[in-house]
Amino acid sequence: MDKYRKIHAQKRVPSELTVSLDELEECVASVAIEDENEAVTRISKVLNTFLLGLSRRDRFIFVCRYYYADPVKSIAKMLDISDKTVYRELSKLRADLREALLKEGIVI
Amino acid sequence: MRKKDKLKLDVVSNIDEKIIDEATDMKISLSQRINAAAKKARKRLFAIGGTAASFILIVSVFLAILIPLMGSDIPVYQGMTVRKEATASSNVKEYGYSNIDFTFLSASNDIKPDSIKDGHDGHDDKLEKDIQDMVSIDIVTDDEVKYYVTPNETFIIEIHISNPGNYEIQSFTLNGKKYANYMFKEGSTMEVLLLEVTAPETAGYASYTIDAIKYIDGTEIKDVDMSGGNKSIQVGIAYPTEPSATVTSQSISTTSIDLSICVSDPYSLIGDNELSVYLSDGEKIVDSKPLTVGDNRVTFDGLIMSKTYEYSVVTAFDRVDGQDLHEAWLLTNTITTAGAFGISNAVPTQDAISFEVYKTGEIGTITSISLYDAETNRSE
Repeated sequence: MDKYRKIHAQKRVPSELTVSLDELEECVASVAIEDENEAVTRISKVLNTFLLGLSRRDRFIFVCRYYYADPVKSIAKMLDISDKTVYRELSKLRADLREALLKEGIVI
Repeated sequence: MRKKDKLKLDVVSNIDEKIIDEATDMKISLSQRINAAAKKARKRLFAIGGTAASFILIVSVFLAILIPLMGSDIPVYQGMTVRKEATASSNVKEYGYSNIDFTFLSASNDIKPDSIKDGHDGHDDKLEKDIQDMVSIDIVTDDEVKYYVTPNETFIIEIHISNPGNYEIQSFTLNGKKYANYMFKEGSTMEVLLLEVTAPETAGYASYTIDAIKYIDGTEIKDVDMSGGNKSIQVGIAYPTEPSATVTSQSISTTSIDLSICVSDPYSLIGDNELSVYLSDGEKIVDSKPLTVGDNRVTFDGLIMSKTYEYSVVTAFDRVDGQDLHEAWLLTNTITTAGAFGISNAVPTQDAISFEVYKTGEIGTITSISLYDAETNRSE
């Protein structure tokens, strides 16, 4: 019976939101602030400042991916670029954000 | 939800509204552009599709015209012929030619030309030109192919088909009657269908018309292209007798000829064709008179005395014997008009000649007699 269930169990496909949130894990892996609300406030402030410092195009990519949870393929299509390019740019944006958070002492 | 995920969600939710609005506007704009591009691509696709469809249509029409010209494998009817069963390869059209004397067709004269010449003054009866060479009557013939058989004779109609694809011929319709392939005569091929037919008993032309030929293409029965040949043929059975003419009586004077001519045409073959008697003086046609079927009385006058003439009865008919509609001379005779005077009992001596002069005709008066010297060509 267990074997049957194992075979026929529906695979859990992670939603795009879950995937995108996972991607942000590297940015907030080790938050140094104990209070959750404070952490949210401070991270949000750094994030907004960070986004405002980006080019319009990079800002668009970030918002699409982590606010709207758009698939990478969809973002690539809208900008008429390859998926790889989107992945590469998202990766750089996350690294830059982490750098900004590190600079503010929010993450260790 | 995990604690860290909640943190991330809260952070993302706190992104400045202006930034979200800017990204949203950009997203809408880009989506519209993508949709427009997709629409344009679809339009282009339709245009390409339309062009391709037009091209295919043109090619199809071109092929539809070209294929028949290049010769497709659709069977094409080529025409019909007739042959006698006994003579497999010979055509029956020659029938009848060998049995007929074309020179003087049924010219059965009651009065012999020699008897007409009695009482002549010795003129030569031979004329320079034959009357038949001087007369030509109008004949309208058709182009139909005709074949000739005898009453009740069994003959074979051959239906010729160009059949490069070697399709099986399923049936054909002749004179409204359908003949299936099992009814074809043995020896039929994919290209020549044979049908045994019995000729009618009565004389005249019988028409045979083919309406449709069907062939089998796989599981379908299709029509043979009938455009390649004449759909009808005429098969003729000769009439037993042909028109004839006889002179039942005649009278000859010095300047005229009276003839009683009887024209016989028991099967009305002459119809509307010309029927006339012509008179020739050996050099030209001097007179002609129309005749009718039956008894005719004809007078040629204003002739020269003691002169030989030739008269001939001409018409045109088709006896359905293989000669088609043709010119026919039913009767030809020579005749010499009477002279006015004759000489008899001539007694020549060394220095004198005596003879008797007598009158032979109703006209003429002797006003003088001259002696002709043949050597000097002078008259005394």
